Order: sequence, then C-alpha cells, then structure tokens
Amino acid sequence: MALDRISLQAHAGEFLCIVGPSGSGKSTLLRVLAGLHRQSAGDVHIQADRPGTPLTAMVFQEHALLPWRTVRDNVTFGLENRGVGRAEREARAREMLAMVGLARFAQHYPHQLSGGMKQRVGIARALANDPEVLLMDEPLAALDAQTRTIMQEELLRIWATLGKTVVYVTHSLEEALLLGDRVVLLTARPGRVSQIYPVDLGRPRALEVRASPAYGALLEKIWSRLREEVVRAMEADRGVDPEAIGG
Amino acid sequence: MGVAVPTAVLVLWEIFSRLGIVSPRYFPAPTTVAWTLADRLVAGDLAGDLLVTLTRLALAFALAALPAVPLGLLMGIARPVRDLVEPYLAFVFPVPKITLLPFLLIILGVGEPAFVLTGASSAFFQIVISTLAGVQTMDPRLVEVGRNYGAHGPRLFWKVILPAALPAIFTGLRLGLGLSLVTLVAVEFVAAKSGLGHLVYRHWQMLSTPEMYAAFALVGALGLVLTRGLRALQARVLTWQEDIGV
Repeated sequence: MALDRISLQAHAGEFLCIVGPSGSGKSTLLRVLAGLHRQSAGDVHIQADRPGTPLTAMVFQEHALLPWRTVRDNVTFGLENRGVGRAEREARAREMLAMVGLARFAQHYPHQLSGGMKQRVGIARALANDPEVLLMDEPLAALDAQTRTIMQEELLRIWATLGKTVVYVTHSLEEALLLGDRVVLLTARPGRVSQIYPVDLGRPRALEVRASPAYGALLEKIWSRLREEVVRAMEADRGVDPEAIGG
Repeated sequence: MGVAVPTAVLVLWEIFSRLGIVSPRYFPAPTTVAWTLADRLVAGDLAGDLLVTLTRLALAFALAALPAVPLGLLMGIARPVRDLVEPYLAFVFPVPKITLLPFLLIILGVGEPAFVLTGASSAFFQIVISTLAGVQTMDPRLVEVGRNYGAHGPRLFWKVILPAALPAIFTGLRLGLGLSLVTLVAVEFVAAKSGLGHLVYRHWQMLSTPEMYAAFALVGALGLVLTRGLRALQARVLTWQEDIGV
C-alpha cells in the first residue's frame, strides 16, 4: 500500500505543495488525482466550474513530451483530443508558448530543445488544456540547479498571472516554501498526512523570500518533522521495523 | 579505416592472383571480376536474373510486412493475443527459414509460391518481433500523457502507441528485407532455375568463377542499396528521430 487515509482539500486558486520522504506515495497521490491510478478505496472530488474543461492536466517528471510532435503540436495535444478547432488550438498554443518564453520554438521538435525548455513545453501543454486543477509531479527535479531556480521564478510568475489551482509534488522543502500556499507533509510509506503547514510568507513572492527570518523558521520547523519521516523511510528500506525504533 | 581494410584485401588478392600465388582459376583477380560484371551488365545478361530476384523479393517482403506489422501491434496492445502467439514465435524464429523450403516444396510443389513464401517467412518473424518490441519498450509515461490529455481507445493507439513504435517498425522492416534477400538467394541456389542465387550456383557448377563472383557482388550491392534506401526513407518520414542507429 502506497497511501493510507489521505484526506486533503485544495481551495480554488491555491498552490498546494506536497512533500514527504521518497516512497511516501507523493507521485501515486497525483496519479490518483489524475485518474491514472485507481485507488483501492476512497474518492476524489474535483469541482468543475466550467463544463467541457478537463479536470486535471499533469506536468510530468522529465517532461514526457511526444517526440514525434513539434513543440506547438505537443501544446495543442489535449485540445486536439477534445475536438477544439485548428484555429483556436493554434491561437492557444501561441499564447501559452509566449507565456513560457518559447514563441520562437513552435516548429522545433523536443530533441532540439534543452531540458529546461522541454519542461517549459510540458507546462505550456498543461496550461493550454486549461484544467480545473494543474498537477505537477516534481517537474523541476531533473533540471540543473540554476535552471531550476529560473524555472521556479517562472512558475511564480505564471501562477500569479493565471491563478490556477495547483497540486505540486516536490522532494524539495525549499521549493515548496517558495511556491506554495500550504505545504502538506506526508509520512513514510504508507503515506499519510502528517501535518499541513500554511506558508504565511506573503504574495507576490520572489526568490528573496529565502532570506527572510520567517522563511528560515518555517523551513526549520517543517524540516525537523520531515527529517523524522525520512529517517523512518530509510530504516524501513533497510528492513528495520519502524515501530521498533520508536519514531 | 572503413575502406582501408577491404581495399588492402582487394589489392593483395589482385597481386596474388596476377602473380599466380593463388590460383586465378578459383580466385580470379578483382579487376577481372569487375570487368566481367560490367561486361555482362552492359550486355544485359544479368538483367533477367536480377529482375527475377527483385520480383521475388518484392513479393516476399510485401507478403511478410502486410500481416506482420498489424500482428506485432496487436500483440503489443492485447495481452491475450501476445500470450497466445508468443510461444510459437519463440519456437519458429530461431529456425533458419531455408529449412522450411522442403516442407513448402512438398505442399506447394516446385515453383514460385514455395520460393516466395520461404523468403517471406524469414522477414515475417523479424518484423513481428521488432514491431512487438517497439510497443513493449515504448516509454510508458507517453501512454499516461495520452490518457491524461484525453486520448482514449483508438485515439490513444493512433496518436501515441503507433508513432512511438514506428522507429522499431522501420528497423524491423529493414532487417526483414535483408533476411528475405538472404533466404531467397539461398532458395534460388538450391531449388530455382533463375535468379541471382541460381546464377551463383550455375557458374560454380561450370567453374566460371569470374561470373560467380560477379553474381556475389551483385547480391551484395542489391542488399546494400535496398537497406540504405529504407534507411533514407526512415530519415525522411521520421524527421523527429534524433538518431536512427543501424
């Protein structure tokens, strides 16, 4: 079992970050929300305010672009499947590619792009589909540290522009505090909600927030709890009974 | 390096043959073979046999590829079909298909159907296996992308699975074409009265070695041209591929 007794609610327009030790079922949770993985019990409720729009669109780890489609055709993939007309699709792709700064690369193929650019396309693809909830599965984990920082700023800007509801899985607590409205901490396997932390660091937020004392204090507070879970997960991996070492 | 070794071999062969160090009767000088080949090509003597082999190859290849690609795809997406067919495939695949010839000759009699079917069988299994591998080794996340972005059922197949398997299908077609040629030439060598394989056999029987080597060279050139042609086609059709490989 990957997840157990998860009860979570994301508010409309909220940026909800999910952190937890490796193997705590963070990705599984997203896949359940996306309808890609059927949970053995319980249900997912997504309030659809606009009929005809998809409930979720996922930004995958390591982009998962369709290599035989151009950047533009990757971005319009969801719209195409929903039968949106060509003119509207292409207009939407132009808009989204401009938003992620790739307007000039519409006719390129994924293999011609850098890692950071590919993930921008992945984000544009999800945004173009205009879902009720944007699901992001460690979207920046595969990027180098500098590109990752740039992309975090981009995400803040895009989210501020579009005001989407986002569920964002990351293994980086720093990233969760920079981006999120709330941080959900999952326990070691089977993942349960350990604690939910509101991130009262103000909006709009920028990289500078990392220098503030409030940021440091919150990081410390969540980390001390996360650390216990990480250690528990590591002990479990080594075959030690986690109950025996007493949390 | 790529051409240095074969060139050196040819030059040594030429010298040894000219000096009589190796018997020119069995190992005629490469220039003699080349002249014979050019001479026969210009005279049109080889055109008939070349055309026969090409026709058999085209038939065999079409007969193999048309059912093999759909079967491979079906096995890839439908587990029960895969479980049903896979054991037979594993059983027949490693058998050199030339050994099917006697069996087919018994059923169909000596003639084109048996020759062509033997050639087709060697391509068929290769193409099924490559196509199946193309579906099985595709990035499973792409299927998740398809499902999450609204491509279900036939749409998932046409928009995601088939394009993802195309490079492997092309590889299968290329290998299949080569195998078909190998088997057909062998079939012609042992059973047919026409074609490049038979040409090799006939000239071997008559010990007219320059003609025999010329036929060899023609078979090699044919294989080279055809598989290179398929590769060029692949590069044109699958422009999105980073690297085509071999």
